[in-house]
Amino acid sequence: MVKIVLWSGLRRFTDGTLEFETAAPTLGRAMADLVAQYPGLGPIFDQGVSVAIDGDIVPPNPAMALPDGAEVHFLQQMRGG
Amino acid sequence: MSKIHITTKVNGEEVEFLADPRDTLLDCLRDQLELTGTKEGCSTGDCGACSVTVDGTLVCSCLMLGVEAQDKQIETIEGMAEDGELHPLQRKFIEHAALQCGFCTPGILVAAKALLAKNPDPNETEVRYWLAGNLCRCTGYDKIIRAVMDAAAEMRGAA
Amino acid sequence: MAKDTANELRIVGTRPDRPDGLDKVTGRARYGADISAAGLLHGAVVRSPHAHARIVKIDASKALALSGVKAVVTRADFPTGLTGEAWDLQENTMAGERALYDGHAVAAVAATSAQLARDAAKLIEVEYEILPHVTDVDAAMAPDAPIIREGAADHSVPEGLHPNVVRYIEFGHGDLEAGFAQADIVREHQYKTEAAHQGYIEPHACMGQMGADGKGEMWVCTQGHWFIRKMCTQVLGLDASQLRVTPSEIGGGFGGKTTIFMEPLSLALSRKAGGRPVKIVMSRSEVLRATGPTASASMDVKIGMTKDGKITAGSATFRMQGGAFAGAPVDMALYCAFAAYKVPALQHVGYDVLANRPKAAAYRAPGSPMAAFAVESLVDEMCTELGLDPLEVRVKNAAQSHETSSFGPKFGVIGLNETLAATQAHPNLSVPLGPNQGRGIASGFWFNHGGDTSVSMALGEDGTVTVSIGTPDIGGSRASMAMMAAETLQIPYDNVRVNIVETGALGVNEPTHGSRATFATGKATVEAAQSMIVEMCKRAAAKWGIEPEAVEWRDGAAHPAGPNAGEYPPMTIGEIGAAMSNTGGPIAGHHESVPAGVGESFGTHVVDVEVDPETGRTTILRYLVVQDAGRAIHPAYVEGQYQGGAVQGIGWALNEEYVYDDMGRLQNPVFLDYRVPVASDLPMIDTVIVEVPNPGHPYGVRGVGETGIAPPLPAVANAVAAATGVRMRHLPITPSKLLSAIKASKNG
Repeated sequence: MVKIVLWSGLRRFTDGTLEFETAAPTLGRAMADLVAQYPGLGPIFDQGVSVAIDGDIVPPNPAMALPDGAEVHFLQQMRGG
Repeated sequence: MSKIHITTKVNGEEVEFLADPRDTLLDCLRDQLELTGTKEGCSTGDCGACSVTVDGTLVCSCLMLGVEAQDKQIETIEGMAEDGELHPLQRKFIEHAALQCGFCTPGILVAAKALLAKNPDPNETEVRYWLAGNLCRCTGYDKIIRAVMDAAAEMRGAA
Repeated sequence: MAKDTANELRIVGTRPDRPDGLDKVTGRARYGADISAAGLLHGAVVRSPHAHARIVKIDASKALALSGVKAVVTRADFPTGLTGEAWDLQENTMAGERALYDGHAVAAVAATSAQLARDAAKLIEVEYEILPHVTDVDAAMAPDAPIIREGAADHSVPEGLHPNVVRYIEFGHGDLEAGFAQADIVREHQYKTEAAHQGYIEPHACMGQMGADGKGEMWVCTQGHWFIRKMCTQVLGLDASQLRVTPSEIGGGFGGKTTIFMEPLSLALSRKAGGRPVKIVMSRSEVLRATGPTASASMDVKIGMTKDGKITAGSATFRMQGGAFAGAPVDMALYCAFAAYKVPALQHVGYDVLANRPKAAAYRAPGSPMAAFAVESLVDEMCTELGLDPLEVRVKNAAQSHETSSFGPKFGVIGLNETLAATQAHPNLSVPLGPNQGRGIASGFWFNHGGDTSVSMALGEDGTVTVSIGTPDIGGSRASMAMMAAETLQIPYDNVRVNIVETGALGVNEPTHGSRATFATGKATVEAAQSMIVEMCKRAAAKWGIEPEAVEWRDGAAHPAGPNAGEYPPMTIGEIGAAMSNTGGPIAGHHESVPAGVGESFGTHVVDVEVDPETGRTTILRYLVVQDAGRAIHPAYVEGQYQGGAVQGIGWALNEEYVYDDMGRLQNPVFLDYRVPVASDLPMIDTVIVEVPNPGHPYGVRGVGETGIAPPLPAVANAVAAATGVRMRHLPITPSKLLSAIKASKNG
């Protein structure tokens, strides 16, 4: 299983829940499952997010495999300098 | 507007160009004589990137008209290395990593050379005040000051 | 494989001369405005003198009547139908229905000389209908504020906020109320910073050429030429690959040259002028009025602390205006705000607000300096109140490796403890202070960055190596890349040449931004070198008739891996290069990725100031930067980044600000009035390079460019407070403001 953590600003789209367990094998699948459950997340994800997998901030590549036991944090999209 | 014919000396060579009466010396150096080593950072005399010497005096070439250059001796960054040999200031700037982007560097080198011609043994405060008219946004000046003082020491034979 | 421990490194960590040094001390290096071409035209831009105005009519007939004027463009020459960020870029490049800030481009002209182009620009008549404007962030959120653009808010903004609020950020963890309840003191204050400009000495300059076929070329000073290509072609409705962009040398950027301003105008003018190249060079006032300064910020911070200095909870509410478009770095500011601390309960709320000011661009660790000012000032105030050593409080609450960060995910390996310990050990902390003098301490944080990266490397016939990279060299990165390539290949530094190549020569590269070049381009350079080593070992194996796996690379040569591989004399890189035509053809390596393994960095600064009680002028007496580099590839250039970042922060703290009058016009668009620090303002800037290697980079690099600008804002304010007893919560701390505050405190 993989733990998904959303930022607290998304609470109003997810009935207050911010942490989820998922068996989704990839990041894209995990995001699609979340949007299916909470359609309000769709436009947010479409607009772009940043993702940290076990602390490593990486581009949100939908094909990325989620290792068992991983912790995936979604962050509002980061912009560089 | 009709242009004015100017004859002058740049880095020891006699040159001629046609100056629009509104062109600055900086415009003429860069656009007419293709000496683009002298930079434009502000055109108001605040940044020093366009520093050259005219008859031995350090000036911002953006504050002088091209038509005022008649019969002068102008020195620019392009004339600083002699016969392919870098001036000690140029060498010390590379050695001390005294440049990052390098855009202010020509003006600072010209200004520092003018300082050492006047005062071969400046202390840190004197170097800082002399170079206060040359903005550098990258380095925080630390390595520039060190490079100038080290070059001065070498030129005095003290290092 | 690369040798990866410090004591085995031969080149990494040394201080060789930079490869572009000679060009840059002789005036030979070519920057943006130094480029020219046959048939060149010069462009000039007409800009709005109003903060907010409807454009009623543009009449260019008088300009076009001048002999030598070849083209005029307005928004009517641009394609319609763009959306999102592409529309923002187009609108910022050239105003449409309304001018949105003082300096907003409304027309552009190309002529046969720069003087003529400027004359022609003055003859373009623009009729405006002046509209109400707002430039202050708090005023722009007020109910009666003029609406800058309806419908600009994105999905993040809850209902009920002013339409000028276009993005809303909220994140946090823990039980905030419980956290504050555990504290012995809870303090809350508002802090403000003003907009500052990156202040690069080289004004923006470009030369664009485009024919009627939509194929074009551009030479430009930029931090990222693929960004220029993407943005210019989006704005002009062209195919990205039809535009070839070549970067010049760049005279500083600090984030401000990661986007477009007048570049598409040169292409549009060129196309209209029959394909003649058009050069546009900004003046300094155009740079200040109409490029991308950073945001101004209004910030509320609340912290709970126990008597012994443990932080129990914190909240931050930041409002930032980034001009007339979304993009103030309020998100990054919040991510950085409490990053140096391990706090059980935190809440972060942010508002990205429109105002009638130029579109903010990135500036060195975007957002982090403002956040540091607010949080590190309040921590210092509370330390003073409780009589605690501010450095010990930072040690006590320091964020730790592999523990949850303030912004959510766990940290990887971080070097905050080591940075704080090195600060505590530094002799500057024990220098005695005199009257009117004070010492200030503050920490700062930056994520650093990976990003799209593509590098290629080729072996020459004589065994020397060419590296092609796509990240412009702003502060000596050619040297760093050559050092990492030479280290990996185990050949001399001087046998490597690094070129920054145009957009046609590599895959897409993000700009030199986010402190990413030495990390990301460096990592890709090492990977490319390793792929070249594999090929070189293959060539040796083929010649020796053994398996490639039985060949190892060391000392710049292929060797049999052990006695079982057979006895052959080493084959040097020079011999392999000389023979390559007959052993399978050219040898090259390349690497493309978005590298993972970015390593965050922390820095702590200590500044001693003296305040003149008669004038309010603050003098910096002593300055120390301690920062974790991961590993310093070229320590002199790492020190240079620390020193430069610190001095930019000092300028932001003491002098620099955008000043608008009540008409919304910028009052200080020259360096005389927008005063950046000069040599006589400063002492030497002491540095300590802490090295806690980043496990995500072959040599341990984290990135060093940005973290150093965050701590100076609060460190200077903390030092001023220590020197005067007066707390300045609104930067910059100009002499007049400080003098008034000192007088007020004496009267109070």
